[in-house]
Amino acid sequence: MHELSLMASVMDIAREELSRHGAHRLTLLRIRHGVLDQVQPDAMRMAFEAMTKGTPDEGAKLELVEEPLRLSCCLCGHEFTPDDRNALYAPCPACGETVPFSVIGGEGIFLDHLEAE
Amino acid sequence: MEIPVVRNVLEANDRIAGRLRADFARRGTLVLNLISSPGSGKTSLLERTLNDLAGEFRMAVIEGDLQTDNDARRVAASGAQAVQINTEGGCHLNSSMVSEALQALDCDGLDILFIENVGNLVCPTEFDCGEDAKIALLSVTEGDDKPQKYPYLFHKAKAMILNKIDLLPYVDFDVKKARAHACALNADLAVMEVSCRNHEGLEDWYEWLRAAAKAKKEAAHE
Repeated sequence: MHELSLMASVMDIAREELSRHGAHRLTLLRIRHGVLDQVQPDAMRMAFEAMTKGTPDEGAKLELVEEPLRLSCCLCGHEFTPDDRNALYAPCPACGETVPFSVIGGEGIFLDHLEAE
Repeated sequence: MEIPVVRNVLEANDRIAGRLRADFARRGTLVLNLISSPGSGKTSLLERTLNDLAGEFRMAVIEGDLQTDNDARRVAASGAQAVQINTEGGCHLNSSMVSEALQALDCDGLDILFIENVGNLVCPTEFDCGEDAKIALLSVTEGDDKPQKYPYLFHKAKAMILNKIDLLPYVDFDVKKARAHACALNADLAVMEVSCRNHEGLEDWYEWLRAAAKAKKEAAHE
C-alpha cells in the first residue's frame, strides 16, 4: 500500500534529474528494491502509470529489480544468499550453529538508472 | 540519453527525519515509533505507560489514525499532550506529517515522545520519522508467524513487545517460536512479554524506557 508514496518520491527524483540534464521526456526508469522491503511490483506499475498518464513521460518503461537477501552469520561470518524464507531460521550452512544473521543485502529502495530524451 | 544515478527513493523523507532526529538529540528527548497490526494494543500500552510513569517523565504522543480521534482522546485522558494526525486512509506516517504535528506540541523539557503509527506491519516500517527506535508490538491473538511474514519490521525494531500474554492459555501461540523468528535477523532485539490488561510484565517495559530515556538525556549533555 505504500507503493503510491514510493512512486511519488521516485517521480520527484526522476523529474529533478531530467531537468538537471536538460532532458524533457523520461523513456526508462529502473528501481532496485530489497526483498525485505516487500514492495509489490503490480502496485508500483499501477502507481507509475497513474502518475505518468497525460504527461510527456507517458509510455516510459519501468524496470523493477528485486535484490535478494544476503546474510552473514553472526558467529563465523559466512556470507550467503538463502534459498528460501525458511533458511532464515535454519542453522548457518557453514558452521551449523543456530545463531542470528546480519542482513548485508536485500534492503533499501533505490532509483538506479534513468533514460530520457 | 542515459542518466547514471543511484538515489535512495526515500531521500526526501529521510532528510526531514534527520532534521527531527538532530532536534530531539539536542533536546535529549527519546522518540519511539510504535508499529503493530490494528488491535494489538498500541493505545492500551500507551494508556498504561502514560498513567504509570506520569510522575517520572514528561511525555507526549503523536497519534496516527486513518479516520478517527478515538485513540488521541484515550491517551489525552492520562493528562499527557496528544496530537492527532488523520492520514485520511493513508497507510503510514511519514517524517513530514510528524514534523507538522510537532507544531501543536510543546516540546520543551519533553522526556519521551511516542509516535503511534497507523496499524500496519509493512508500510510504517519503511518511513523513518526521526525516531530513536521502532518498537514492534505483537499480540498473542494474532498468530506466532507474524515475525516470519513481516521480517523487515522485526529486523529494524529495537524492541518487540509481546502483548496480551494473559490470553496465552486460550490461544495456540508459540512464544519461543515467535521470539526465535523475531530475533533471527536482529541479534540485539529486546523482547518483553506483557499484558496491558493485568499489568503483567509492564515493569520490564518501564525499565527499558528508563534506560533508553536516561541514555538519550546523557548523550544530549555530553
